[in-house]
Amino acid sequence: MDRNEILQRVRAFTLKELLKNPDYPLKDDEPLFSSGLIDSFAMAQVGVFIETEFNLYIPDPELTVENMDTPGQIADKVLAGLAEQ
Amino acid sequence: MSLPFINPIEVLQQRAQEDPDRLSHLILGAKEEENQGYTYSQLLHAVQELAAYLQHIAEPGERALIVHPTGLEFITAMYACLFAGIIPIPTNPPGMNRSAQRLDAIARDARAALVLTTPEYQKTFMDSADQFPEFAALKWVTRDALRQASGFSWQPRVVRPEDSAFIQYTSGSTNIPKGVIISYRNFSHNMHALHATRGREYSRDESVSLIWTPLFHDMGLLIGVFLTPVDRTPSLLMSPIQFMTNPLLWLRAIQKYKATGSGGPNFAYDLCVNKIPLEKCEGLDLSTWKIAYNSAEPVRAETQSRFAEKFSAFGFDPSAFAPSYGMAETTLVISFYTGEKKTVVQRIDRSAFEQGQVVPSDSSDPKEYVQAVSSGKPLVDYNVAIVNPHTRHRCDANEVGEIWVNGDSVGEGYWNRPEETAHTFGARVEGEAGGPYLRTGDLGFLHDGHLYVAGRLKDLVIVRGRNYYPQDVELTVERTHPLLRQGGGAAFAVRVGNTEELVAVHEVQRREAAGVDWNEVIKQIRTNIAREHGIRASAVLLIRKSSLPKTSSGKIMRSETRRKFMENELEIVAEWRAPQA
Repeated sequence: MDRNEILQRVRAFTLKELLKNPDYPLKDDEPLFSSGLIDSFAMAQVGVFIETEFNLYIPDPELTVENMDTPGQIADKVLAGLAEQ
Repeated sequence: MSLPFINPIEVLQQRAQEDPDRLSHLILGAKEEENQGYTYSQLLHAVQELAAYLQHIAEPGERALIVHPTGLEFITAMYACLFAGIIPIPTNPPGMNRSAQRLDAIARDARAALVLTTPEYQKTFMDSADQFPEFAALKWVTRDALRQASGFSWQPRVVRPEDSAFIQYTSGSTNIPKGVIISYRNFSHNMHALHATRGREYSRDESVSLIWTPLFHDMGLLIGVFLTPVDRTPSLLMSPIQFMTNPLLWLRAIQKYKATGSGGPNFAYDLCVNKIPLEKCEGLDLSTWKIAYNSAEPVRAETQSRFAEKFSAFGFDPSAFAPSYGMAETTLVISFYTGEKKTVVQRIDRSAFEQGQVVPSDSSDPKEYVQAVSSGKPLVDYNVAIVNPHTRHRCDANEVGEIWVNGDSVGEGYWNRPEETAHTFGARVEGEAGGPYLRTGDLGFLHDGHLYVAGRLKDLVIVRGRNYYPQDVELTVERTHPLLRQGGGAAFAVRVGNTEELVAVHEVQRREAAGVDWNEVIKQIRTNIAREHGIRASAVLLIRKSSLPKTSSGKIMRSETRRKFMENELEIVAEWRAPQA
């Protein structure tokens, strides 16, 4: 799976499940949590999404706003995690 | 406030004198012709006969195990012990095939001298008596023994408020049974508390109480056996087994006998919603039902609305729902409705609630609020304090804390356990003079004078500084799929390394179901928990139907489920566990 495909899935999830607005003009480097667009409560959802979609478990200490604030950062984290497997 | 002393012995004598032929208790059989009842004078006669015999064979103050199923013999035995000055201990009669281990444990703990039971149970027990020699050596009292003894007459005795009336053994989430001593003062105060709830609905001539909850529990005992003669209302009793096998029998009995007051724990209402097919409800009429009490476990707003939705077409009045709160340690009831609206539901901001704060929410997004159901208001001269269980300081008005209560209904303590009694019954609020208080072990808060119960303190799941109430998580899991059983889940925390992690266990209706992939259901559960609670579960397990540990009254045993999880004893249908770092 290449980065672009991962990114597209992350974007689709973010628009549908987190923003609940498929027409939102989401940029790949747009901060989701630090900007207050989504509250950090949703970080658990991102974690479970990655588990179920990519079969990849991100441990709690790594599931942070710092590491995973933008769709691009989330995709990178998934890509790196998959490469380690 | 000084309330007149209600003495159950005098109450029964008085009723038998004023109204000898009025129905006191009626046991509902499988068919109407199998019903068995006593009028007040018949009950008094049977009680005095047995009491006279007990006075002959036992000393006042000795303890007696009552091992009878729901029936006239149970009621007679309870009253006869009071009349004779013997302290009765109602127990859960084991099935004919089950061991007497728990009875033996209670008998030892209470140093009981007598067993009041049926000849049938005595015979079954004696076949395996060598396992429990001390229990076998107690004085056994059955109707057969009574028949052979005659010519005794009951000697009236003086009862003081401080005398012990009976001992209620707690249904026990733990293995060691503990007996709560209830004095006549406690009894009298709780009868007044229950009386205080009577609003316009109560009428001596029309009120009929119907009980199916076991008589060896506080609810069945206090309402089904003792309150009704105080109230002058007939008490109709069905066995819990009848209800559990077919909950429609309960509703049909309410209809047939025009019951006005009946109820049970929350799960009973769930069971009616889930188990009763609509096509069987033809002609059902629940319009006489004025007080549908809901107690003994946390009350769910959703359960009540689902029940109302299904049964209001059959005359059920949703405003009859009356949640209440209490426990064996307080005789029975602590809080109940007080004449006004019986159910009050408050939306509380979820995020604040998880941090122990109560902030009303006006959100319409269920992710952002929790529905807290009031258990009514503390009754008569009860003192309720919400206290931080660690610092023992009184909480602020908008804070969640442990519920502490003080009042004459609070039992005298645990039988023969001075340390646990001091810890549980002798608590003092830091910096205050009042008390002592009973620590209920439940978390809750007061809002507008109403008491809200959030769950057991020991069951609270604390992950990364946030509080999660297991009931909330269990509800989220259960709503994920229709084949997940209602009230069949347990959520709890386990320690992994240095952190606490959330685990959710839930029963499935059946293992094989066409088109259902349990692993997909688990994924959906994980997603829903994350979405609604902002936390990832570290394990989700689906287990076989009816394999979740529960008490005899149907309460979920979360710590026992946790133990089984740790020891790999759960009957797993499908599971997911987070990889361990």
